[in-house]
Amino acid sequence: MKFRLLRRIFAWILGILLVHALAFFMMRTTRGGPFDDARALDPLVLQALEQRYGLDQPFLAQYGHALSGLLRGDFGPSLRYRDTQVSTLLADALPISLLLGGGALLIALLVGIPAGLYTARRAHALDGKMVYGGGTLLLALPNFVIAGLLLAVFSFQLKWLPPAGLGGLQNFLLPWLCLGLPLSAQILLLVRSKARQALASDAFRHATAEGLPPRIISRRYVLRPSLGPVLAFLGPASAAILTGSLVIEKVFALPGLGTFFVQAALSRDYTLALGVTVVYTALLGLCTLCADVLMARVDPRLEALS
Amino acid sequence: MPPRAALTVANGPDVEVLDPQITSTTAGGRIFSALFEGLTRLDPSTLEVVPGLAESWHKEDPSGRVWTFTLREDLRWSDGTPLTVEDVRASWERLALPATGADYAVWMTSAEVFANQELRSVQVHFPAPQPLFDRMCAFHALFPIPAALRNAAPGSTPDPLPCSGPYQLEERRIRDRIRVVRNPYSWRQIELGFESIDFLTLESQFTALNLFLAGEVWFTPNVPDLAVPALHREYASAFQPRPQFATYFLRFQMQEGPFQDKDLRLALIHAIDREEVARNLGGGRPAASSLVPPFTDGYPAVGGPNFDLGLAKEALSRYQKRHPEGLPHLEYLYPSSDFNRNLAEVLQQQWAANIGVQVALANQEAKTFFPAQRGLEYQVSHSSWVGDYLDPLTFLENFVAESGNNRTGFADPEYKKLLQWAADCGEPILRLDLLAQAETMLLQQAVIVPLLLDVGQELVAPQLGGFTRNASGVIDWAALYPKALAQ
Repeated sequence: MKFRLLRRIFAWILGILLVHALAFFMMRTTRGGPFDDARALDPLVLQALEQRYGLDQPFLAQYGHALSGLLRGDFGPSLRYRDTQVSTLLADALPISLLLGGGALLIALLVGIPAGLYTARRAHALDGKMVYGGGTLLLALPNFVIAGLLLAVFSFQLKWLPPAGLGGLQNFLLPWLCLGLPLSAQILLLVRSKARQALASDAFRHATAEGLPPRIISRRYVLRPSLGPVLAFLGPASAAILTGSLVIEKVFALPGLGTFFVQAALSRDYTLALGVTVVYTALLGLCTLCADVLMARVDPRLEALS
Repeated sequence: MPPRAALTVANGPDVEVLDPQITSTTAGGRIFSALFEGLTRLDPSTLEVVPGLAESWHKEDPSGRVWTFTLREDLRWSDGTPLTVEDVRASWERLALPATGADYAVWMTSAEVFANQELRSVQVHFPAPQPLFDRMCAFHALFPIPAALRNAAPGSTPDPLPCSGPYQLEERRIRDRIRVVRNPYSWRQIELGFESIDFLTLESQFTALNLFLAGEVWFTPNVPDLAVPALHREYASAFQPRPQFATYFLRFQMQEGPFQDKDLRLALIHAIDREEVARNLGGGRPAASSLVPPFTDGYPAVGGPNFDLGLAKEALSRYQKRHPEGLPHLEYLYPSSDFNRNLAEVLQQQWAANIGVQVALANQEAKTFFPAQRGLEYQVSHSSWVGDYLDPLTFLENFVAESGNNRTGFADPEYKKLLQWAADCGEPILRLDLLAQAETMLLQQAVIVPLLLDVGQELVAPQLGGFTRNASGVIDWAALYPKALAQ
């Protein structure tokens, strides 16, 4: 187990380096530079700027510089926010992204699992069908549409929650729902199908026939087998949250990593774009790793297979 | 999170660098005019040049090659240290240094600045006339900046940042907000004004509008075009768009390719119905028949080829006689955005419907578009320009052959001569007349096509007193006050 974990960590680091290299070369072969704007810069000024940021050096030398920076955890100054270091920008934005993503994931799990179990048990009843239908509908709605609906109701009709900005936790409630609800619908579907299988299984019927207490039956023979796919889904779910947060951060004006990701690429802020890409890759790898470790815990057969 | 500021405003995209010499966006301009002050200022209601840090100034010669400014007595930065003529001299020299990386370096590269501590005077010498230098001084690139900022290492910001404006920096959170509080050392006394102002960074105009409608912000600089009709209906007092000193126009690439032929250019220009374009796009932007917006007193009305289907067809048939093989593939290039795409589609439709010319549309994201436009890798392209100061020159100087903002291949020595004469001319009326001749030449030769004036779409809450709308988006933050307090 330990050896396998080390191997996974090694692969994770290798993945980060690979993505870093790819991002560097893809970005640098794209047309246009950080200082190409509507207003032309004086050629001498442009030259001085390129010199200061080492953009006048050969490609490989620049890559070497970026790589050594990565190993030291120093991405250099941002080319757009020229008076600020990339690491400062990342350090400011990361906690907001983690709070946003973590809360959304929590909502997805807290809503999705119970709803999945409920709809499995009441698959043929009207209320079960309604919850199931609601989940399917949520799945079909893009998160910015959900954002518009929630804003219309909670910010403008009821005036309970602020429409945007960074204040307290109340500013995060709507973004959490926008990101978390579509995921909860996916979890609902996963849990529902597994739980229905479990409810129809021999093991469940046997345990019921044995007269075990219902709580134990539920936990051992329904909940536990249903959680496997949810854990497997955590990796892709984190990816969905990371990418989904691009839109949600913009709509709710939350200064997380998501908006940086797009903006840095569009403004050819090479250093910041590399920094955000590396952080995203690292986060995504870490989430997948954690999900895999958890899955092995829940279902030892997986570890035996791997 | 600290408690709310006395006034919260939406400020659009982030101010990338908190340095008035480096950031030249309008969002940056709004913040710099709160934190810093120029030797002169613009009166927000008349846009006339009024004293700022300088109590007086004059040209030493009629053409404006030499200017002398006298600073007010006992000026101080917000940390209490004296603000001297030396600060002015050092700031202007830094602006000119290539290493500073300033957009407006070229304004000062050939200037010589002399400071006299005893007289509190700064004298600046230009090799060529600068008749509008006092007006330019009200633009933030020429604001004096403190030594801490001048000497800051690349990649760092001084903390605290000494300021000279009515407000000083309290906190800066990138992509969230910039908070400013009153500067006790400002020479201007704020009587009714706000103790503190939060400038929110809001990339999305929809988000800014939501915050305004929810009463969270009292000002937002622009609104989504989609919302314009509803705002006119329901928020008529808060929403009064007015034309800005900024123009949307088309550039033709005349160096090579099909638009070397003036008749083809004319055919396309005559086939554009600007009024229809303006109506079609919504957003309240009026049609523009000249590149220079009509806001400079004494500048004659200038016109070029206008909407005229007869002339369009004539020009096209002249072209077709010379090129019996038919029209080549034509392409219109624009920087990706919803507005630019809508504009492109309206033009495409007009060209097809009016003269049967098919023009393909191509878009590139901004950072790709500008090098392509500069490299003349286009045929006809979307363009816009925002005037830096209220004078035709800020538009016209772009089209001399050696300007990096020309991007058309237009290189008429006569044009340059007219601008040169205007520069050497000490008589303001004659100067404007010469500039108007230059613009007429630009339009008559069909180098560019003016399309629309931009509009200021400020939303201003009725509780916010002291706000004056104008053509340059100038806001005097010290003049704002909460109306409830005044009553």
